[in-house]
Amino acid sequence: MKDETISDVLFLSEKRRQILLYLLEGPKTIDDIKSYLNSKSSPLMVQIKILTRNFLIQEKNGVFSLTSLGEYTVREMKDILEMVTVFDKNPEYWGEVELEVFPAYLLSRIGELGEAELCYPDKAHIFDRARPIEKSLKSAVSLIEISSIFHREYVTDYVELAERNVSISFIFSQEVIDRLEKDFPESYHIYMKLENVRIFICPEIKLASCMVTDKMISLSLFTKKGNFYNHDLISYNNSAILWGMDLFHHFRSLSMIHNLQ
Amino acid sequence: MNSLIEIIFFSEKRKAVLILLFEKGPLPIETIKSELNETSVSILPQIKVLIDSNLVIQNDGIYQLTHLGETVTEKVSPFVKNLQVLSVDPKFWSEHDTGEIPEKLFNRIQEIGDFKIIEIDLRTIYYEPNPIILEHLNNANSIKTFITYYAPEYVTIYYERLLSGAPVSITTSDYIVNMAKDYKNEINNLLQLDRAELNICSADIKIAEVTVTDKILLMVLYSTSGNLDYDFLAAESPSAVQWGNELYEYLKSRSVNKKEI
Repeated sequence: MKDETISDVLFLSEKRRQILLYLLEGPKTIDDIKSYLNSKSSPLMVQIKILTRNFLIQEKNGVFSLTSLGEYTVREMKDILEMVTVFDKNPEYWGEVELEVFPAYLLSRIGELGEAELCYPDKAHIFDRARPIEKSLKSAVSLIEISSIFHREYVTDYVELAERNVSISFIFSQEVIDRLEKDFPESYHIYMKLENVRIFICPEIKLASCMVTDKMISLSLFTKKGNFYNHDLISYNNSAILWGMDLFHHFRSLSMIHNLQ
Repeated sequence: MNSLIEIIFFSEKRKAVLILLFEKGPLPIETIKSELNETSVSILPQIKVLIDSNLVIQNDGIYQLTHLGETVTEKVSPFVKNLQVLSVDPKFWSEHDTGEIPEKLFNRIQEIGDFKIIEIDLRTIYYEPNPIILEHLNNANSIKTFITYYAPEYVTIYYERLLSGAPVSITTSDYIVNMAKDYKNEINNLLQLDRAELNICSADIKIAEVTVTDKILLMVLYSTSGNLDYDFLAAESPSAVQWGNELYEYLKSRSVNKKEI
């Protein structure tokens, strides 16, 4: 094959991709590869030959490993695949929402959201948070909420959590704080007096809301046209939670701590 | 809907459109056609696929990346361009240890552009400089060399270049400096010159040589098995020289400046 480019070799065969990603873990014997891919020798050998011919993998004493070129290539490929996997899972959603809310370095790491699932409430619960969130909140040890919209839970479930001594950080827009203070003074004053609750005001929050607990992250975004419909994009991956923490730090750096006037 | 991997990597034209819009910003169709050497009939169907996948939008005849398109292309573009450079000689990149090149720089390997491999006649090492390398050094108005192997055949030419007025900076190991102790007084005299610089690197850096002149980048890497084959990578584009300067500065930053030995 004359026109075989490295990117063809990487992306045109699922099996080759699997072999490469497996070898990124370290050198493997042919038996390791066979049992990992649950594949017979002969079709596997065809792919291994192609990978060897393109200098991506090498064999020494029956052990296969990535070459220097292969290491770089597979690392980058994995990074691209992780990002694309997140977008591919909900293509219409990602095509429609406003991504400008995220700083470039976090957008570039959006693959860390991993197996993110999009949840829509049924009609009877159309104004509520998604069910998985309700469940997860019950056992949360810590909670971060970044929000420019007013969820009913801020004056119900979250108050309970606060009183249960869960460590809570709110980053709210001025409008959300004002609404909380004016319409729900009781909840507002509970938050203000508890030591385990911190409230920050951010002058500009372009996402609808984002919740990060020690177990999950949930994102709600506006559409590019500025519309909102109730949804939660939820992930339980560790890497997703760390990504959420970094998003918190980003907004935190743009915020002021909120004190009683 | 197809995976973004298929959208991006299964068509050279689509890939080229994305990278073009990423590099040049919003463009009218006429420019896209002429830049990529395509006709309306050949390129419009592919652009339509990109629009349907939410990667590109068109307004008043101007095509541009969506935020989603930009996020993905920002990751894909450097990878594709790096692969183009690595594909010039995949065997070389698979057999040589690039692990000591900082990841940030290696991720910009595209900047070295087209390169050649100059093979050294192993019978001449220690005795005669390679004529091609010699010519590059003779043409240099400035020389910076990081070197971790013994290459006495080049001492004269560095000496001549320094005396003829070219700034010369050398970064090397204790081991090599010790080998030169016989010429201690001569070397210390030369180091009195403002344009002469010597840095000593005690870290065991597995790069054999990086030489950057005002015109060329020359690099000798160890093989992945740890051997030295004296293959010189030579790249002459201004961006290659810039890249080489950054690599040299990095190596220098891991070294200590010496006014005398």
